[in-house]
This record gives sequence, C-alpha cells and structure tokens, in this order.
Amino acid sequence: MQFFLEVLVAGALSGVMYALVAIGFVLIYRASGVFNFAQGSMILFAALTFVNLVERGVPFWLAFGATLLLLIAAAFAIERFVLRPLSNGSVITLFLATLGLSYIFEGLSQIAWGAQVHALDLGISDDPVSVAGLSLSSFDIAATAIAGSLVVVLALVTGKTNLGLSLRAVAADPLAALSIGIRLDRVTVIAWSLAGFVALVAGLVWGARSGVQFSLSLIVLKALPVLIIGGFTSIGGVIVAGVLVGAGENLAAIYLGPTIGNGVEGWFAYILALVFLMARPTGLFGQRTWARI
Amino acid sequence: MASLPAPLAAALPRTPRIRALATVLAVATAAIVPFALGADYLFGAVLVPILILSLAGLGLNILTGYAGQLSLGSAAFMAIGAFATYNIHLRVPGFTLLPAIVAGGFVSAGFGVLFGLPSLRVKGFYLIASTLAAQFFVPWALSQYGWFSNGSASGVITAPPLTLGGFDLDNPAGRYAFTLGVVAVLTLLARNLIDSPTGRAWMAVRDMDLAAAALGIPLGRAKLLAFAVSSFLLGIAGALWAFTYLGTVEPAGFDLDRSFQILFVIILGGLGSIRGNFLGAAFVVLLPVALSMIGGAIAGPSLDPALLENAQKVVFGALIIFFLVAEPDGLTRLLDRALPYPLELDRPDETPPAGVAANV
Amino acid sequence: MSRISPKSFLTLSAAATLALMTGCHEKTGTTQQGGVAAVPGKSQYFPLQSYRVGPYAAGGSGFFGGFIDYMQLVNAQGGINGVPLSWAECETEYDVEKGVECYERLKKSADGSPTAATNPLSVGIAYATLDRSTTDKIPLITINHGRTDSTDGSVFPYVFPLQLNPYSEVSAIFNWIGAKAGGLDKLRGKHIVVLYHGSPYGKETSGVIDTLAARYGVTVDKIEVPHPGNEQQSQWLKIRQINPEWVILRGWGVMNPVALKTARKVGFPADHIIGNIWSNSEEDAAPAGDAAKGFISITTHPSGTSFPVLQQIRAQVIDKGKGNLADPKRFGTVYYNLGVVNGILNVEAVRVAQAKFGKRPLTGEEVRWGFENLNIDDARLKALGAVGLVQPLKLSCSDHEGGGAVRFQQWDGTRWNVISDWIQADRPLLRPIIEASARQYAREKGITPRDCSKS
Repeated sequence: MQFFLEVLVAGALSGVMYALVAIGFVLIYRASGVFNFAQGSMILFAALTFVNLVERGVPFWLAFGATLLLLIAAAFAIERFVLRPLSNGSVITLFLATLGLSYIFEGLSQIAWGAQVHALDLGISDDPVSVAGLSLSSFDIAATAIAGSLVVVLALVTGKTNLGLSLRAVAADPLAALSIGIRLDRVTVIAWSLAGFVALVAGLVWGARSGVQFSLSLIVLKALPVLIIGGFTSIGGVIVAGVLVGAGENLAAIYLGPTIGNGVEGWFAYILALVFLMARPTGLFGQRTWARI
Repeated sequence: MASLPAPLAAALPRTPRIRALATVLAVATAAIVPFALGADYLFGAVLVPILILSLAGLGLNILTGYAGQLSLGSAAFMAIGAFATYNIHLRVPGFTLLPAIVAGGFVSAGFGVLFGLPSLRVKGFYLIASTLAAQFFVPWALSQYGWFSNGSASGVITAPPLTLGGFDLDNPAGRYAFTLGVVAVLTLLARNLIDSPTGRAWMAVRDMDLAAAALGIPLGRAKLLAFAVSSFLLGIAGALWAFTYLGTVEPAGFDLDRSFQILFVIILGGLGSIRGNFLGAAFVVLLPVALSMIGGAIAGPSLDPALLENAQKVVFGALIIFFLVAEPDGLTRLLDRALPYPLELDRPDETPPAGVAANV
Repeated sequence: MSRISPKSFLTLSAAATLALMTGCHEKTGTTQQGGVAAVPGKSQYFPLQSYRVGPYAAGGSGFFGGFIDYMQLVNAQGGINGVPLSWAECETEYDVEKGVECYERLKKSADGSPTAATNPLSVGIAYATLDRSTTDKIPLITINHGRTDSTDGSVFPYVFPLQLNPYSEVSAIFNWIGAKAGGLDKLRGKHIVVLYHGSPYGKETSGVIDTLAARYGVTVDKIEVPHPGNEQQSQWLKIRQINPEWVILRGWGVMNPVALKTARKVGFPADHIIGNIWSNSEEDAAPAGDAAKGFISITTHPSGTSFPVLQQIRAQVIDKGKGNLADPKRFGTVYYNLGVVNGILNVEAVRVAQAKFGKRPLTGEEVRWGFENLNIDDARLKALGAVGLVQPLKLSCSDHEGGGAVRFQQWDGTRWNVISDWIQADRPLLRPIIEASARQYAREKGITPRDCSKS
C-alpha cells in the first residue's frame, strides 16, 4: 500500500511538472488562438542559453534575466514576422507555422550551444525525504511549489490587472478588442513573453531534473495529453489534468507494465486523453463552443 | 493573370479534357525521362521517395484536405501497412508481393477506422488526441511484440527481393517502375473517388459539418470512410517505403517526425489538391539535398556535419513559415498563377475556403 | 494573395530541381569529406556513418572525433606504408533508416578508392546492414558491441565485434559481482536488476542474462527504459521496491545521467550501480553532478592523455589545428579514446593485410583477411604507443572478438579511477551459446559455414 501511494504521489508530482509546460500553451492559445508547438523548443532554447551562461560564470539572476530578454526579443520577432502576416490563417496554418518555429528554435539552440548534456544545479538537493511515511523526492516537491506559485502569479495577473483584462478580451474576440482600442500586437507580444517566462521556468525545472540536452524539447509530447484532458483554455484545468496524467502514467507503467510490456508510459497518456475526450469532447475544463449553420 | 480574348477562351478545350491530357503527359514524363537520364541514385534516393511521399500525402490530404479531419498519426498507418504487408507476405501462402501490399493497405484501413471512431464525437483540434494516440501506440506495439518482425531482436524487418510475376525488379530502375505504377493507379482511383458524391460529401463535412448533416449527409459514415481510404493509401505508402525504398525498416522510423513530414507535404503542396502532393513531396525530399549542396559549396569540406544538420533544421523551419505566409494555398496555387492561362486542373470549389478545415 | 512572383519562382524552382536531379550523386546529402588523396583513387577509404546530433550525440561526436584524429595522425606520419587514408561522413542521428541510407550512399568512395570497412557504432544499423556488408564484401566493424553471434567468423566472415561482444560484457560483470561477494557460488539467492535501453543494443543480452542468472542461482529483473530515456521515474520506483543488490545499467546517451539522477531521487546508492561499456564515459556521469559519485562502470580502455599515441595526436594533429573535436576538453575522455582505439585496430588490420597482399590500397575482401589475422601483443602495443590503452588482441576465423576482458572504474565526481585488474568473461561458457545462435542464423539464411581449420 505504501508503495502504491508512493507511486501515485510521485506520479502526481511529475504531472504538475508536465502542467508547468502546458501552462505556456494555454497562455498562447488564449491570447492568439494558436496551438504553439514551439513551446518545447522554447524550453530547450531557454534552458540551454541559461545553463551555458551560468557555465561561463554569469551569476544566476543575471543569466535568468538575459535569457528572459532573449525570449522577449523572440516574442517580438514572432509577432511581427509570423503571427501578423498569418493573422487570417486557419488553425492548421498557424499550428504548422509554430512547427516551423520549433525547428528554428531547435536548430539555433544547438548551433549556438552544441549538443552535449549539461548539468543544471538549482541548489535544490534531490535526496528522498519522508512525508507522512512516504518517501518522496525533495526536488519534485520543490518543483511543485514553484509551479504552484507560478499559477497563482499568473492567475493574479490575468484576473486582477488591466493587462490581464486585455488578454482575456483578445482571447474572447480579437476584432472587438481591436475596436475598443486594445493594441493587439502589444498584447500578443506580452502573451508570448509570458509564455517565454513560463518556458524558462519549466526549462530550469526540467533541466535540473533530467539534465539539459536536446530531448528536453520532447517534453512537449507529454504536455499535449495534459492539455487535451484539461482543455486548451484553462490554467487550473491543466494542473488537474497534469496530476491525472502523471499519476496515471506512473501507475500504468508499474502495474500494467509486467503484463502488457515495457514502455507503456510512451502512449498511455494519449489513450487516457482519448478516453476522457469521449466523455468530455472539449476537455475537462475547456470552453464548450457553439457552432451555427 | 492576363485575360484571354473571347474567341480564344471559347476555343479552349473543356477542363476535363485538359486534365486528362495533363495527367497522361505527367505520367509519360515520369515513365520515360528518368530512364533516359539513368543514374541509380536519382531513382533510389530521389524519385522513389518523392513518389511514396506523394502517395502518403494523398492519403493525408483525403483525410485532412478534403474531409477536414486533422491527423498527426499518418506515420503510424504507414507502419501498419508496412508490417502487415511483411507478415502477410511471409506467413500467408499464396500472397505474393502485390496482393500482400493491397492486403496490407486493407489492414491499415481497418485500423484507420478504429482510430477514426473518436471523430464521431470529438471535433476540432482536440481530435489530434486520437491520431497521436495511434502515433505513439503503434510503433510501440510493433517493436514490443517480436511476432510482428518475425522474432528479430531489434524489431527491424528486411524486405524480400522485389519480383513481380517473374520479373526481377530488384534494381533501382525496377523499383522506380513498380512504385510509379502503384502510385499512378492509386492516384487515378483517388481522383475518381474525390469526383464522386463521396468526395462531395467529404468536402461538405469539411466546410460546415452542421450544414452537411442538415442536408442529410451521413456524417459518421463519411468521416469513417475518409479515415478508411486515407489509411488504405497511407498503408500502401508504408509498404512501398519498406519494400521499394529502404529495404529495411524499423518501427522507430515511423515516428512523429515522419507524420510531420507528410503534413508538410500536403501543406506545402496545397490542401485539397492532387497534384499538390507531388509538388510538396518533391520539395520536402529535395530541400535537404539542396541545402547540403549549398552548404558544401559555401564552406567546403571542413564543414562541421552537426552544424550543417542544424542549419538545415533552421532553414527548413524558416521556409515553412515563409511559404505559409507567402502562399498559404501551397505550391499548386503558385503553379496555377504562373501558367499563361488558367488550367483549372483542380476545380475551384475543391480547395478549402480561406480558413481551411473551418470546423477545426 | 501571393507575394511571390509566380513566374520567377516557378522558373527558379524548375531550374533548381533540374540541377539537383542531374547533379545528384553520391556526394550529396550530409556528407563531409576528409583525408588526403594525392592521387584520386589511391587512398584507403573509410565511410563513416557518424552521428553528431540527437540524444546520442555525445557518444558519436567523441568516438568519431577520436577515430578521425587517429587517421589524421596516420596520414601525418605518411599513411600506412605510404598509402594515405580518406573518409567521408554522413549523419545518421543513430537512426537505422538513415544509417542504411548513409551506407548505400557512402559505400563506394567518390574518387574510386577502395573501401576498407564500415564502423557505424550502432547495433541497429549493424543489424540492418549486415547482409548488405556481406554481399558487398565490406567488413562491418562493431567494436565493443554488435551482434553477439557474429563472433563466430565461420558464419559471419565480414562482421567483427572487436574486443568485447555483449555477452562477454555481461559475463564479466557477473564475474566481478561474484568476486565481490566472495565467489560466484555465493551469488545464489541474490537479486539483481538489469536496466536496459529500449533499442536493439539494449535487448541484445536478454537471453544470456537469463542463462547466467540460472547458472548462478541469481534472481534477475530486466527493466526497459524507452528511448531516449529522459524520464525514468517509474523504473526506479520499481527498483527501489525490489531493492536489489546491484543494478546493471545498460544505458546509452542521455539515459545514463538521467538514470543516476533518478536513482539518487529514490535513494538507491550510486556505488551499487554498474554501468556497462556504453555507460562508462565522462559525458555519462558528469551531467548527473553529485548523483554520480561512486558510480561504477566497465571499460576496455582507460581515459587519460598520457599514452604515447595520444601525445602524438596532440602534437601532430590537435596542435596543428586539425583536431576533430568541437570541444577540445574532451581529448582523452573515454569515448574519444575508444575512437582512437578503433582507429588503431582498423589501421592495424589494413597493415596486416598489406603485408600479405601488397602495399597498396586494399579491397574490402583483403582488409577482411587483415582483421581476421589481427595479432596485437605487448610488443606491438609498445610500437604503437598504446600500452595500457588497448588490450592484447588475437583474432581468428572462429573468433572475431579476440579479447573479452574489461577493467572496472569508479567515478569520483571529476574523473574515472580504475579499481580493478582485467576481469575476463567466461568465454568457455558463452561459446556454445554463440555457436548455436550462429548455426541457427546460417540455417535460416542458407549459408554454409566456413571451415575454420582451413583458413
């Protein structure tokens, strides 16, 4: 029983870290209506830049700031050269544009910083700690706390500030927002910069967890089922979904693995997402859409 | 586009005849010119993959371009086709290569319907859950259970030598001829299907499925048929990939990157266009070759291969975006605009409205 | 609305397509040439199916860096009896399909020089090109890995798992564990977990592990990590539940540091994890930081730069700016040195063959004979400047491995320190299994095994 609980909780904690990645998607989807496949490569880019700056002796916060600036600059470039020209494009077109973006980020990251694996030390030790009789990873607990505070901050920003109001207006109806004077381009840049910030935090957390290297961008494949289950539009939703996916995946790997075979965690989350979708076709917390003929 | 003087316009042959003529011309060119040029490498590494990717693109185009159901799992259906063909050819007596390939296509079609069932309930972008589930599950199953690869420790299958009715086609030219034949026949069949009421139903589902349902079109059946036909073509493309192109395949070769590659083929070529598939496939196959030739020319032999590989990624990504911005209807629309008079090979109502797959 | 002038684009792309199609031949693709060929067609050519991007880039770039640097050294010293070496690289990303494509593209050199051997450094690619190599008569070298039954050269004349095949590797580890326990008979009842990479390489040893486990009465659990292995939480939770004596890590690439970090996360001690021959480099341990301290692994050669041959490479290649490594700090690391060892063995095979066939560029068939008659003893190692770097090797028709011994090393946080003497694999035990498997393959493919007593 204890083992079962440990697997469950450890999975849930990983799941929160998947949700951390998924939050970036939600931000961009709500602001630009775009499913940003490049989020994973942005995470890789952010983590690689940060870790290489730190390895060259740049202090932590300076490196953080510099990387964030780079991401903001990228947000400007993306808004100007990709989103604005494609503003009339369909969902698939925009999605493919972000796919192209992800190739660019990946290629640039590795040209600039190389293909080696880097260790990333956030100063959080990773010894197991005993919580309520369960042995859990202290790093995972810290990461969950980071993710949690990020969610709170984002909820405050989007809920309580004028900026947040603009973001929600743009998400609801871009044309109406334009017509009342909201600067669409500025809001888009801000949304993408926020997503960049989230990507940086996610990159640091995941980089510290499994090392900074090219497969970091593959983490987006784990975030997708979380998004699908949680709905593309709700931050709280993806957290819940993340916990579900993480715990479910872990349990499946351990308990189903011996019967079905190794490596179940590669596809389990997607089948889980499919099952949920059949029950709730727009995700647990996604917005139901109405269509008219 | 210049407008033609009235008498000339009136004298132009009707669209269907032009289309037939163009098709014959294209097939004849494809059948004769490469043989005249020779060059094994041209056959084996350029033309055959272009043909196979065009077929795969055709499959995906039927599902996404004509029926409006976004799919990110094309490579999984290719994998099913390849492994099904291999096993049928190996284990079922009497199935030579060509029947095995067709049978493999049907197996893939069956799975296509299975993974297409969620489309009856789920709409829009969320539907990618189903095809992505296929994309991750299928290669896992194929490499996990050794039966699929006849006990190979690595899940790798090796294709038997290519023979057709006694002719030994196991050389680059022979493989090209075989592939050309299969792809040409299937393209013509697909063309006929798209022209039929089935194709019309698909386009109605794509453009506005509620209206289509209101008109009496059976949505479920149309969608599932689209999945079936699409997976049939993708399965055969996968079998060709294994048997006439690479000769050796493993499940990991049919991964998400391959699915994206096919998606690029149809987007770059043009959604809802048959000839777009060929244009898109040619672009996707030739671009890396072009980039490395340019890279080699600029930097010479001391070029770091890793740098080249990554630069290719960047250029590819940038070109994708450039194309999407500059010509969202794909290379096929570009071709149309460049010709001196409108060929109208694809009927205007076939290509989706300027918000492709409006349901998505 | 199109922003490209359609006509100009069309003409441009038509011209480009035509140029590409007619200009296409073996030279295109991600191929990089190297080496010296003063006279076209008069060099000894090595195709290199290398990988420098992707999750396994660290291993690939280190290995091929060492290999190429050694070939540069040989060329700087005048080639092999005056015959220069040349090579061409093609990026495979450790992908089987790309590996096969690279093989077909590179197997013949661009200038007509004969091909000596292929070194794809991938079990998957080796499996896929095995039959082709035999048909094309090009030796397929799989140093420290490969298809184990290719050790039996009577069935696999063209495949060479030099130095150490996967069965030997596992057997040597078992022998060491046994020695640590006070004798192999003391292993009875103990529990071991094998954590392996989900690829042909990882799965290669599943059978022999079961055999060894049965023989010594050890309970073995085999747990797979799907490629690329950057998430191993459920695997290590399982390991913690099992609480084995030892974990044998058959990892590769990014799977290794993640394994060590995750082990630390669940509280499994690093000094009870034994990495195999592909989990033994600095690039595997260093990124795990503290979590890697105490991690043990096997090696057929130590890291370090003090060996005379490495000093020569430094003087004649690296200091002259011809070094292949992007990061010069990797000079002398385990993967780099493996590349150098591979270079030494490949070149020595050509040298041995030249002694029989003549001092000229040799065909694959002739180089094959050279490999099969490799006999590197201490005296020869001294002449090569590789004493302590390469183990003494003697190959023969029936034995394409030639070595089968490893040393154990331990990571102290900054470097590997050798902690054991040469531990031999139990080759007499393994030989019948290998032969049976080879015979099976011969039956399936309709091959008549050569009679080794005659060659």
